[in-house]
Amino acid sequence: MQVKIKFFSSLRKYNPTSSHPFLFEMPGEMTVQELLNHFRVLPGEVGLIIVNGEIGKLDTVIRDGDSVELYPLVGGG
Amino acid sequence: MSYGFLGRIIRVDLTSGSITIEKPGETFYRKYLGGKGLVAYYLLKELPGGVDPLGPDNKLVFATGVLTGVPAPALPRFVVGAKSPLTGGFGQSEAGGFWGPELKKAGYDAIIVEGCAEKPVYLYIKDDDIQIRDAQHLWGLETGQAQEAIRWELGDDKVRLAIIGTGGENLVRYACIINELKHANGRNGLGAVMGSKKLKAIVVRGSGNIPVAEPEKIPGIRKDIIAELKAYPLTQSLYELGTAGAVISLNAGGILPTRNFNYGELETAERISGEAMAETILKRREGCYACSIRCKRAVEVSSGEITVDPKYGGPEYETIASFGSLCQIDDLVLLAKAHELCNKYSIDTISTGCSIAFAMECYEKGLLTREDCDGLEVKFGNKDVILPLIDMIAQRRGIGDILAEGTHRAAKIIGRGAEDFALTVKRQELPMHDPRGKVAVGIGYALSETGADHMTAAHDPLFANKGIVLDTIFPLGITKPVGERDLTWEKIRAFMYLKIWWSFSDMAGICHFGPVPRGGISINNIIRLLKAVTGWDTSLWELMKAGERSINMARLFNLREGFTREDDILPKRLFTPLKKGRLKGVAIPEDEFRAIISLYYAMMGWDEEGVPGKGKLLELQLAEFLPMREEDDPDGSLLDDAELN
Repeated sequence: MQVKIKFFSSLRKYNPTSSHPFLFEMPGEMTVQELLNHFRVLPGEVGLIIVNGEIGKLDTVIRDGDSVELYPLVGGG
Repeated sequence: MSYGFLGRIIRVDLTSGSITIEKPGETFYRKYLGGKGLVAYYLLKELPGGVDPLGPDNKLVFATGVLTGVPAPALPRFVVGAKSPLTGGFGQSEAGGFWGPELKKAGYDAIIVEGCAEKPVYLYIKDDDIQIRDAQHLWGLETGQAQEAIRWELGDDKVRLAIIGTGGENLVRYACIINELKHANGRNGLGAVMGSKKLKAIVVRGSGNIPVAEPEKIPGIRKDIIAELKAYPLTQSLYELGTAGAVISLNAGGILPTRNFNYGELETAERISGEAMAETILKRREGCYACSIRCKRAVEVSSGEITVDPKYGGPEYETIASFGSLCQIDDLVLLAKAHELCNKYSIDTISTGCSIAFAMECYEKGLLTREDCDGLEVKFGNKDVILPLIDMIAQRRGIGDILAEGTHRAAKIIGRGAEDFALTVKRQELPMHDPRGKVAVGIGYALSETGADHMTAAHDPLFANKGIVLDTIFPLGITKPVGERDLTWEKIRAFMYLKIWWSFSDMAGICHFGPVPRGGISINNIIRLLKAVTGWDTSLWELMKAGERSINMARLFNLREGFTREDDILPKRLFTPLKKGRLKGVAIPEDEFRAIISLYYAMMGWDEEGVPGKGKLLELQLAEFLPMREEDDPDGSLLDDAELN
């Protein structure tokens, strides 16, 4: 079960590969929150979740073949 | 003995040439803290209502805070204030860099500049030696040339200069003041006030130390603060990508201001991102006095049609968006050049970019012709017009003379509906954050005493989700996430507390990239630091009350100038749907927005018209600024008490 993941900007540090996007083999369906936990992203660090081109939430379920974009929280300035 | 502050304020009258030193006592500093507090005090106390902002009766105040110059991160800030020639109201703008700490090392907390010199001058302060010096030979020079000339003639390349270029001299209503050629008191047109006084620069050099009550505690607190900053993701990002790190995320969220706020997305935004800058023109990462964050950039382009000089630093996010996405330009080198020119001329990059975007929309709607624009085709996306228009604005040439008035006044001159394209609050151009995706930013714009400003309170995403960022502001009593687009009482409560917290920073000399939630320095460590520096047994309560005091004082200033609740409103465009991007179709509901402003007044202890009540002003020890009627104080006791303060 494969998903395509893109970590943007300051979240790039969580990308375990050198390709962008990268493919991730999921053990089964996961929520976005579970995916973030897997990569040890800090709670509250992600500001915008896009799943298959639509705005997603932490409880959005990720399925085989999905594309997930993760953007950091932007503070302004 | 005073700690944290020097207890000495310079008053210079450029008309008479007199220079005096005033010594307010510790009670004064504890009440007003410095920065915004000092500016508000002197402007409210000493300016009569209705003064001409560009006349000799306006006063220009440069004020550090009690923490400015303490050797720890995020403490370089000073505030400049005056009645603003752009808004006609309370004018205030902060800058980092090195100038503020240097002024304190010279032995002064603040400078009040009065009157108007007959011929161009600059002020030179070296410890106890204060001189008004001739600047006729410097008038007309760019900031970089003038800085070099002054350092040469003083024989000291370590003097720090707050300076204006031709934009300030030519009274561009959004001219700024630049220090070290790359740090700006950007907004509100305070560089024009400096120009109107024929004051080219304030040059400082100090050899003293800033007195600290418990100096042995500072290294430990500094170490803890650096560790907090290092661990905080938002601070890490500022180092890595600078403020331009925001471009990609805002664009993906559909709130990158594009095409004069018609769209929320620029298709080629990655070309103007912080990532693109880091991979192409970035020369080095820089920072302010004693700061470990290093959010500033220096960029260099040494060959090709356009070259960019790194001594002017590099473009911030605001500059990239205002000349870039707002004008639909995606050429990063051109944007870096626009930044360099604005710093040479000392004009605010936000208002300059917005003025050009405004002209572009007028042009495309047929309100301006090629003839009106000196042969330029001022269309969105036409990158050939950006640099010529910056020149024309700074020199007040052709259409630039109209745009130099700010978009509000320019729209009135152009007429025929151009007002709809002038996106301002209290006549100041909108910064590069679209409130349709984060409404507290819009509430902040509407309620800002200085007109539209994105740095008056934390933005909604910082308290919209559970996690490490929201956790940091639990001590403010903000413990529950509030959605970015929610217009609820919980939103206004969180906004109010965060605005008060940010106002405190503007008083104390703290950069907003330091403390939580925008930066990683905990509230506890800010208080520890303030206690160790000043020796005061203080608390978050006292500091929040100080912040609230400064908001009320600035509000009183604006009320005196005739502002009403009708000025606490956003431009119409933000109440209409975005036309492109991920938030296409989203607008702010105007009725709900107006209601939430009323709720803010109520929470602040203000009446329905936004006038601070007598009880609130007395609570904040502002009796002397109470709009006093005889029946309020029949025996004169309130005013007697005020004098004791």
